[in-house]
Amino acid sequence: MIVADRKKIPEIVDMIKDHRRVLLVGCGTCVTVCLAGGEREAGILGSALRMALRLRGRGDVTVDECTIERQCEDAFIDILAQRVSEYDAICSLGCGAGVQALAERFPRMPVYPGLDTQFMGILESQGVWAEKCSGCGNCRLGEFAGICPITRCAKRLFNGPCGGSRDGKCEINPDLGCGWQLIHDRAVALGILDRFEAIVPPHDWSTGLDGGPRKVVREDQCIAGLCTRP
Amino acid sequence: MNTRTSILQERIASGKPILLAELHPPPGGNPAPWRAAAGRYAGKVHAVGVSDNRDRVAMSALAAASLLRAEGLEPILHVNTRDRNRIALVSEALGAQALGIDNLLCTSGAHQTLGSYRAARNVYDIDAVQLLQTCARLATDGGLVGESGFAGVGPFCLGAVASPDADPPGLQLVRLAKKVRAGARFLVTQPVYDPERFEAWWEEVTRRGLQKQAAILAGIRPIGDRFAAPAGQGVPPQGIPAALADRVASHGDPGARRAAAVEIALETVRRLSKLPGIRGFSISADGDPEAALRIIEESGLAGG
Repeated sequence: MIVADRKKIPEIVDMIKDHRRVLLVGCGTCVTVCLAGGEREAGILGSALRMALRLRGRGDVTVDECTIERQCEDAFIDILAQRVSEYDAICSLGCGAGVQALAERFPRMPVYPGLDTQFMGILESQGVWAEKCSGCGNCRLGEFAGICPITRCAKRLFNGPCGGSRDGKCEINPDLGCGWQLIHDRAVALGILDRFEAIVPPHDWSTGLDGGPRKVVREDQCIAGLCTRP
Repeated sequence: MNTRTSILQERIASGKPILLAELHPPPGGNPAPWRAAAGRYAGKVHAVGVSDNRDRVAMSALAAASLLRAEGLEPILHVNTRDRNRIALVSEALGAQALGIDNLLCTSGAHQTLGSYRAARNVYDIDAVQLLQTCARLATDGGLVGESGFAGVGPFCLGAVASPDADPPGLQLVRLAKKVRAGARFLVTQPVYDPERFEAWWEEVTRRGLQKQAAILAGIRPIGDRFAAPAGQGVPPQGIPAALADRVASHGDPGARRAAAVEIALETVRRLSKLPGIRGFSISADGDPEAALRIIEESGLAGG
């Protein structure tokens, strides 16, 4: 899932304080699961913002909340259309895709991010989420025992661990497991360590963000004539 | 195409002991202090490694290496994959050749979050193994950057870093072997403070026969004040055992601290010199250039 973290209250207040009526929009998908921007968090943030605005002498700003099932799809955003017209700004508790989807759907409405979108990852333990995938468009997990060297090695090394790996940890952060130690341990468990003797050639980054913003086009799923929607 | 053979390459081929110094270009644009600092190593070492923005921004290593060469020293240009993509790395290698610098040490560089520039973006387009392979083939194969090959490119004398203390040991050796297969002719280890661990590592190195395929030099870095936490005040950085740091930090007088640092380094040199197949040492001036010079002079390895 996409993992996000709520922005600090003062930062959000600074963004919205010059509006009269602000709609906080939660999202029922990834950010609900990671406890950052679902219905519950939207309610808590709404109360916190009303209090903070009052303390800054802006108690006249109205902040209301609502949550939709998925901010990254027009079909769900459409439910908001009528309500949005009563406000002069939106603060989205969706991920960066959700914020931009709302902005595209409501071209005359300022849309502010209430979250800092972090990464694609998983729940590691209660309250701890960890990054697992960079969305590089060219998945190499099959070559690296199911551990991604692009995402989980701080230097994105393809040919083995650097000199900063100690006792299973990465030198940049004692809480971070060395990606190559993890690859090593799984390769040992799978009995495939000998595969790592070969030199891995340079990666083609053009399938990722380096190739420019990406689109996935599935001809078989497109409605005739609508495939190239800008 | 240049047909030079680098002085370092000749020394490697000779089978004789090799002594290197490793210097850090100054954080400034004035060449005079750099020339003066580097000039003190003339005639004492076989080549001088020039670090590449290692933990702070400094004069470009290529410019610094070129200045050093003009002073009659043999430079080893360190090139990290942290700060440049494949385009800039190949261009850097071509520029080095044009300036008469044939010795390249390819490294992934320390992660930028460990330096004074932690907000910087890193590159890591290719890794050190891939950079070695690229440089080794540059004359005939520039496929990495969409070229068939590059004119005027002679042989490089390529080097890389080895990490005896790092984990997991098995894959570290695999990576080291890849570096040699990719074209490394010399390997410099990270600073050695634990000779026992080094000796265990050396056994594995010799079991793989890597010391026969590349000249392996042990890195020596005096425990200058920068690296010695005062006794009882936390863990000293950079993998330095507390007992060694204490031996330095327990002295109140800076001169006595330096003498202790030099003595520790000389003990390590003497102990590792006994290892069959080890080709020499690279003395880092990081933290205390005076101590580095004293180690070079007192090791008995200078100028030979």
